[in-house]
Amino acid sequence: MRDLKKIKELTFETDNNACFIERERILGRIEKEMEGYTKADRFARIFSALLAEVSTPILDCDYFAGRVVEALPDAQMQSPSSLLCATGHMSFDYETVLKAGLRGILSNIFENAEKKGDEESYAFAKNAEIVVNAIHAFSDRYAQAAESKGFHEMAKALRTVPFEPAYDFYSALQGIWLLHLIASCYVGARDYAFGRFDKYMLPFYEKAIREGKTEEELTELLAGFFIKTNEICGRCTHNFNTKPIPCPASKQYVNIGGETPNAFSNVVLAAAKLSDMPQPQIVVLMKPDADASFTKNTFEALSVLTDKMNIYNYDLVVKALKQKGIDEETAKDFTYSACCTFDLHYHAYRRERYLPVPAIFNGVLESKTYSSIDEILAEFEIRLREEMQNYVDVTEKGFPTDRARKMFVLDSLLLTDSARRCRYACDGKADHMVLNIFCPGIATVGDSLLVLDTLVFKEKRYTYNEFMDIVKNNFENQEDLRQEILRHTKFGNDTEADLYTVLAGKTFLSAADKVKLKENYMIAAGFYSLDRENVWGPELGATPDGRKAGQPFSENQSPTYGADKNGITALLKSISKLPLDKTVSGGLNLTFSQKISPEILQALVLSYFNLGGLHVGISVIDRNALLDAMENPDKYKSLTVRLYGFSEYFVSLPRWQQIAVLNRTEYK
Amino acid sequence: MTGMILNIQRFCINDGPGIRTTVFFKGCPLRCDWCHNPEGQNPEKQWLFYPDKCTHCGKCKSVSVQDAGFLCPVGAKEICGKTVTAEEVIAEVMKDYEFYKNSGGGITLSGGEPLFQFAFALELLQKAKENNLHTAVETCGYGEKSELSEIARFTDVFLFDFKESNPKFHKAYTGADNGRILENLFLLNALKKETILRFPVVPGYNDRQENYDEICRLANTLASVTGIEIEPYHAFGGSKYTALGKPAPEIAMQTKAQIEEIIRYIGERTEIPVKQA
Repeated sequence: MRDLKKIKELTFETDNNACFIERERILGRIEKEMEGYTKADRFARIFSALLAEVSTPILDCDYFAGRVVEALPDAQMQSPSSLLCATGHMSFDYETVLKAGLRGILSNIFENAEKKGDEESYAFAKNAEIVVNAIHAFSDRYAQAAESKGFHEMAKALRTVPFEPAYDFYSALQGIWLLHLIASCYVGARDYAFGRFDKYMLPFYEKAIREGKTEEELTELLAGFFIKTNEICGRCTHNFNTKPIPCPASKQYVNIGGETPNAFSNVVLAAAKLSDMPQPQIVVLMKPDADASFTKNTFEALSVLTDKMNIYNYDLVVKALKQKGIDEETAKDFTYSACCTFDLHYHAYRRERYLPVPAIFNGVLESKTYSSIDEILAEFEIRLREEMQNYVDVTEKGFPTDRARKMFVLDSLLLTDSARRCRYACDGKADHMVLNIFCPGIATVGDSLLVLDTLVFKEKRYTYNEFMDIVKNNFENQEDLRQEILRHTKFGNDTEADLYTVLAGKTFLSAADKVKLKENYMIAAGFYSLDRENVWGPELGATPDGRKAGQPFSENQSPTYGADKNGITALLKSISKLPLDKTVSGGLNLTFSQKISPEILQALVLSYFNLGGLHVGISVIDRNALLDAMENPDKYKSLTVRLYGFSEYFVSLPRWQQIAVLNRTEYK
Repeated sequence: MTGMILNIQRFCINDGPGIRTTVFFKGCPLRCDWCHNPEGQNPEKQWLFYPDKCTHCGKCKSVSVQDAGFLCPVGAKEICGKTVTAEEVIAEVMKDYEFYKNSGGGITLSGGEPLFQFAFALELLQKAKENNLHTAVETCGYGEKSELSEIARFTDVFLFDFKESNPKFHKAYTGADNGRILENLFLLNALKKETILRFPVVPGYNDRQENYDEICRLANTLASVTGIEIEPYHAFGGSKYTALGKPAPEIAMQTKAQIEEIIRYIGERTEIPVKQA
């Protein structure tokens, strides 16, 4: 009997040390068996052998077939096998899968290979055939398992999808789920995303309604699908020893909204509320003039789901993409596929790089003596551009390597332009090569400029070198000065002090604009840090903003910890001054200490977007509960908080991350 | 003209409709035993001193409370109270205009007691209206009737504190009886001014059934009252008492269940919506 509550409970019951043991054992054996086999179909064959052997468990409470069986690892297992592992972090073209089936995609690949006529294209098509047949056989085995349990709807779907086109709402979800599971857990890669889910699922939803299904039934079915995404364990990396409960390794993003939110967009929100789990993250691409009921439902959902949602300013992103030369149709189809990073439709291949911006900045300050902020910024831009150019050049050189893996085509089947080109996505020749270059610590840099300008260039209380000596000496014996600096109004209070962080941000983006790129390359520069403020902070010397050596620097687009003292509207106004209209990614996390009404959230976010804001994610935290959870984790297994660009179980975080969450400014 | 304020707080979502900026006036005619803004009572500038932060550096020794530029290096001592012009306040308030527009919010005068600086409050409200702002005034209701009517002309909604229905108890708890407050409440009703009745429930003081009954009876006779908000007592003012060199009141806080029970009790005795503030 399908049971939402039960499948949800099962994700919490998983053993902390368990892993997808079957995969490990089978791959371990196959790797030995195929030692010395170097033909172009090596990986497709390994994939095929794996799928032919893994079990096909279905539980009584399951809505959809496709789950992995976990158990404690064997004693000799050191790490999960990366034999088949791909890069993940992409949005699959599920729209074409649902319309044409894998069979349709495969027949296109053969046509294209025929047209191209080269050996590599034929090899690609042959591999595609092995992979598609393996998936077809696997879904057939699952169909038999479903039939033997008496699950006829499930069995019927699995005899058809994903090989053939989906024929109804249920089969569409079943087909997507099987592919998603295979890519994530069997091949093993993280963060595959569902793309513009409300767009391609709409016809199936409308057909179901026409045929007499109720919205409640479909919402429940979708909630069952959503809960499954919490079973995905990524590349199993977190399944050895450190796996928290439940495994949060792979993030699943469902994008809705955009140009024309539809009736199904609202069903997605309702299903997310019903499942109420960290995965999938619901990403709403919000137009300020979107349909009123969709807007209302979005903020009602945000007020309940809090950290489990992201809201992006759709118009701002489309505008930024068009400025980068992306054609309007492609631009309008953008999606987010992982924490604060985005894809262009299903064409893009993306890489990402976090530049050590605060360290680069400190290097600039120490390299010579300056007499104005302008001089510092000019040098800063040169150094940033060098770092970015170097990254781009190295990335380009890296693409041609590892030819064998390039010929493994599961991901490429599901990316439109890869299938068309008969080439693996990561050969550097995708229609759009998106290089996300992130800027961590922008407020730390901006506030440092503010302090230098105030104390050295304007008030002339110190010469440049005197002041930099104080900074380099970690403010030793200068605690009064440091406290004075700390108490100075900084970025985040909607004052003139924001100017310096804005200048630092513009310098970063200007450097990105000057990097030499191939025609299909695009730099998506943004203000985002993931965890770098805490990971790199300990290695970074003191900064002029009063931050001592080793302390964390500023997170994402946010001010430095505790610098924003004028409340959340002032904060939002400060951040909206950053040149966000030239970015398409990056995050802002707002932490509230009390539940905020949907009306207030709506006003807050839409006002912020009107002012030029890009993204909002929120957390509502009960500080006492978090402190108690640190001591009594078993009581708080389902307590989630917002981290970077997604939701995490608080008790699964290492202590330093728990403290980082507690350190954030809370808005009352 | 200038006024004496404690501070201007942006993003207030419990001081009237929508997202608001609240201006806290300094100076209040009442002396409630439970006051959680004790620094708002005295209309003059005052020192706030946090002894546990003090490093005894001596830098504040020769500084006057009027010296606005003083900044204690460790934040142990600060000046409470700021002299500001109405223009300065409005300039700060207007920074969040975009947020008011989308939420139906605006400016709220609170305190302390806005009526205690009538002329300044009036000028501020007039200027707020010139700037198309929604206006709210949170008041203890203890002011001149003529002044309140003037204020009401530029006020969209009053958040009217009503603490105690028994005049003797009111005098004992706050230093004044509730006669003038009741008159002003009736005045706002006569003026048809939307009023939210705010009831701070303080354990051991006004948390009596007959007080709840009487407040319901009063509210039910006033067409202007569109809502009743229950404000649970909280002890956040404690550190400020210490900083002012005064003993903090020792009052236990209610549990969530007790507050819910009070809301239920009052809700059953009136048609007016009742919620927690």
